Amino acid sequence: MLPHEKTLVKRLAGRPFALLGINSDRDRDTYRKEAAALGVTWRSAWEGSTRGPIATRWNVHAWPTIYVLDGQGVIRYRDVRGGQLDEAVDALLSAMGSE
Amino acid sequence: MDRPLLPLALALITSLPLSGQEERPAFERLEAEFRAASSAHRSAIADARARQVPRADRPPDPAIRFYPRFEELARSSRKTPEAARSLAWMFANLDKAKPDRAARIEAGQAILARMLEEHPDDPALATVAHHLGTSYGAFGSAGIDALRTMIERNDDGLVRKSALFALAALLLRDEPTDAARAEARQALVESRDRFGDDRAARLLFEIEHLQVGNVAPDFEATDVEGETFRLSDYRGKVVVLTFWGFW
Repeated sequence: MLPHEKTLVKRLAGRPFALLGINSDRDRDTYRKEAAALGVTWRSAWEGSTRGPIATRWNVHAWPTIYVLDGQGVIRYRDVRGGQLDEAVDALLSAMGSE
Repeated sequence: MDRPLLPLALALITSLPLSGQEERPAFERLEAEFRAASSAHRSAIADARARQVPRADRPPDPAIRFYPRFEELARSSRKTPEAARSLAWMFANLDKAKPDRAARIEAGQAILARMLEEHPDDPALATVAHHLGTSYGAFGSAGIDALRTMIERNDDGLVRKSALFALAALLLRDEPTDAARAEARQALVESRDRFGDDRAARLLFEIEHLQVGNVAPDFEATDVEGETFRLSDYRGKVVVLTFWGFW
């Protein structure tokens, strides 16, 4: 998953796109070290556990769980990965008029 | 320290064959034995993993050898609460006791039928309901019907509570019709409001606010650097929101 996310972020640099994580790793320092080592450049909320407030509210039971939102904050896709994730994001971006 | 021995002595005396009746709780003894075996098995598996023993060579799950013993107990204590608990144990341990999917489903359906016929109000059904809810449709419409029967036969209590949530979970997963969704919603609302089931509350929130077409509920969060942000800060951008972890 991670290599694909990195590619996505790189590919869409400068476009109206954001990859946001809700991270459940326990230790903040370990997270930072691993993130730095693996080139995780995007922002993540750090909940410190799989039972954090946002993951709980959103009824998350599997990791990763993915939501794709358009520019108005509307959920347009759920649990798309790989090529389907690319297509979803590209479709939404082009609908926004940004090619 | 002598006093506690008196009731124990009496219990031993009255349980002797003289009285002609076995009054020791056979299910509890068997279950305790199984729990001990499971605990030992977990250690053995951890050890096998550490030594990189291939899966096929690792010790088998104790549920496999205990299953026939619970089955025999269910048979010999027929129509008693002990039988109900034994059947519930069997249902709960099908995954481990019967690796073959077809055998598992056949055994599960037989257990369901027997439990509903002989023990429709027994509290042990709550265990069965719980496992049905996570059975990923393995028991098909028989599973859904079993849960509906449990709800019909139990106006209140743990069986009803377990069955409501399990029914909703199965319907939402396996029956994409409007009628099924409405039935699931109704079950979840009762689960949440009457029984205070948090799982139902969360699932209802998901159904009502996290579907394609819903505006994503806003939240405030703190990132790893300690800075706070809101989801709504990102309006105007296409957002991929991912719940993840390095673990």
